[in-house]
Amino acid sequence: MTDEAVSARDVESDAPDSVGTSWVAEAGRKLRAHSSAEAMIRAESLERSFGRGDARSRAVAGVSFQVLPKEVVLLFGPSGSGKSTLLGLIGGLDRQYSGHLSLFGKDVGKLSDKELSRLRGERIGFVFQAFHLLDHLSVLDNVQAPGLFANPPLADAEARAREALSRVGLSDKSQARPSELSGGQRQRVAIARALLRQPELLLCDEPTGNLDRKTGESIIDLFSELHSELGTTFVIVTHEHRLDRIASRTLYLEDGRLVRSEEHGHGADQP
Amino acid sequence: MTWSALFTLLRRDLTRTRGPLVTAGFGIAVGVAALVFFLALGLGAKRVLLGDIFPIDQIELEPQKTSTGVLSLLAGSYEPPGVDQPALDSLREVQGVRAVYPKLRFRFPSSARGGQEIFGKEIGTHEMIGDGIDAALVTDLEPGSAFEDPLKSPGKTCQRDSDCEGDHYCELPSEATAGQCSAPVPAIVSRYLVEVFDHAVAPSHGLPPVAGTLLRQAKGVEFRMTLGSSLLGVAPRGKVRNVKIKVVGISERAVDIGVTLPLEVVRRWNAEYAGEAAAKRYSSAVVMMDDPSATSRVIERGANLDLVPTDTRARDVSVLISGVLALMVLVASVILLVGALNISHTFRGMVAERAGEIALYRALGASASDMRRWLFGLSIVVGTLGGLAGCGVALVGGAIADWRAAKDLPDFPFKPDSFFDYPPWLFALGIGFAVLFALLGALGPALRAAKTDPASALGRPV
Repeated sequence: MTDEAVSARDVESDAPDSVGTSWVAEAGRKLRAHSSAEAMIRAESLERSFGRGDARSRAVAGVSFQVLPKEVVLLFGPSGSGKSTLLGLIGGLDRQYSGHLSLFGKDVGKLSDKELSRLRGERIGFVFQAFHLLDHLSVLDNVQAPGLFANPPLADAEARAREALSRVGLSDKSQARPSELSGGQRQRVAIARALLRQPELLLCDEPTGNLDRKTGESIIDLFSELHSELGTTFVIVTHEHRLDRIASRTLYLEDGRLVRSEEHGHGADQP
Repeated sequence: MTWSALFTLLRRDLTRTRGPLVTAGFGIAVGVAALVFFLALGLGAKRVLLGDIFPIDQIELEPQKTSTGVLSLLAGSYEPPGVDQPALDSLREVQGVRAVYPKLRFRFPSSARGGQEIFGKEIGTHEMIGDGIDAALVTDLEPGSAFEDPLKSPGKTCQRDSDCEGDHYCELPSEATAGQCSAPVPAIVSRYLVEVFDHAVAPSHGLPPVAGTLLRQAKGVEFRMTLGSSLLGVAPRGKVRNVKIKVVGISERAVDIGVTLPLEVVRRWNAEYAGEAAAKRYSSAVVMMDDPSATSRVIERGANLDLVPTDTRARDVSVLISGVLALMVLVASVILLVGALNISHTFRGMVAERAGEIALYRALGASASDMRRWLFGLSIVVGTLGGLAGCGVALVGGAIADWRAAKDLPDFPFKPDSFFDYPPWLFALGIGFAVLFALLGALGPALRAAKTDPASALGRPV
């Protein structure tokens, strides 16, 4: 399946009636706006090193790949293989790289901090292994947090947050504090937060790493739903093969190098 | 980040980090309290010292005293130096000078008795000294109190006081064959003289203080003044005679010690008892200035005219107050600097502690400048609240000091109702300094927050 095949109609037809129509319409609009021939992420000879002189080590060593719209790509590898570092780079959180990296057709190296931050806020969502919820805020406020940095501001931030919580099955927990939730519930809140601005790309760093098997499975199911209903593109760092069932392909990393790519046939487009 | 989002973040911080922020703002509040308190005290002192005791918007110039005067006195041809009309005109031309008023000192011996209305008995002085000043200079009298030559409107011809009606007396110059009925000559006295009398002379003689009485009964206080004779002797010319003077009020334009009369009256009496020359040359000139900064130019022009300031106390006091104020501001600035360091320390800790949160915000779309604005905004809030608290503490401190002073300090000349002045700009300055030093303290942490590496910080828990 090529990226030309990804159309708004595909997305809309995938969406069940129960899903808020505003979500589907927004996701469809974003996909229509996206150039069909354009990769969402394009990395060429991407390198990231830490330290200096003899202590210098390459966490990402000359990695080249691309991610097309609606793909679910897993970054797989053992600890220290550079998965999270690579995710930081493609999320625009880390700019200390060499090589070429473009997001949504824009050369990251040429974007100002403000432009990159805007792009990150509007088009990319993050889900972390440690959830990174703010304990002093309610669940609802946590989910609304990305709206703080939207400019122009989101007029319907609260409605969106409630809708996102409903989507992850936590409508009844909106006033709870994160500390009152289980690990799985916290990760769902984090996913709801990532969805608030309806990103086209969701970057997940070991999203099931802190969860027990059953809870982890439910999160994977949620990703699968989001992908099929919204057409969201996923890049997921993991070292668990159970995510293969929703993946388009897996990129294997070892010592910062991309050593293998494995197709799974799930998800949407293949590179 | 929109302003509304920034306010949301700040509101949450104020609730969440109340303790550390109060600690951070404490130093700023103390510094501002010290700054406002000391400045208000200095301004209050300045108001009393330079407004009431040593007015600084005016300078009085008189001829320089030289040894040639002593020689001419021995030669029998002594003529006191004076200020002539060209010198007055020259002073008027100096930039920043609003007006120049000549003063004419009594050049004849005199004495006075009276005060029955106030004291219940007559009091007097065997040696009366005084000045004549331009009526235009006296603008601070109670409404209805006139200070002008009573013969401006000539009265009926007379030979003696009994020829005149009411409280009028017969103004009959020494060489004249007939005089004119005149109203009592209006006189003003200085607040300084009244204060000295009330707090030093009156208590020792069992007399009541006069300030309130004079202000309320200005039209009723009369003295009989003897011209041409005093304890020290009689005038070389003219005949000894009595005139009536009436105290019409207290004025800051009056000579400190003695009585002050309208210039034209003193000019006539000087001519009568000391000759025409004594009536034409003034003894000094009061130079009124729009701006105290013109003082040096006036003194310079005066020096060219052989005139020197009669009193440099105002300048000395002003310099002294400015010096003390500068010292106090320095002390307050040091406290504020310590406050800024306190804020810096607290904010640095906050940024380190919240590195994960900052990184999360970056991941959610916040730019580095958003993080700077957040920290600077927080410091402005802390500075403003600290500044307001400091201003409040200064006000309360000032009120307590005034209360204790009113209760415990003995009465003394020029004792003010309040030792403090609080012009609105003082509070603006206090809060402005508070915000400035708070921003200074937050500068480093804000830059550090903006530089937080989100990728590595997100590896830690929020």
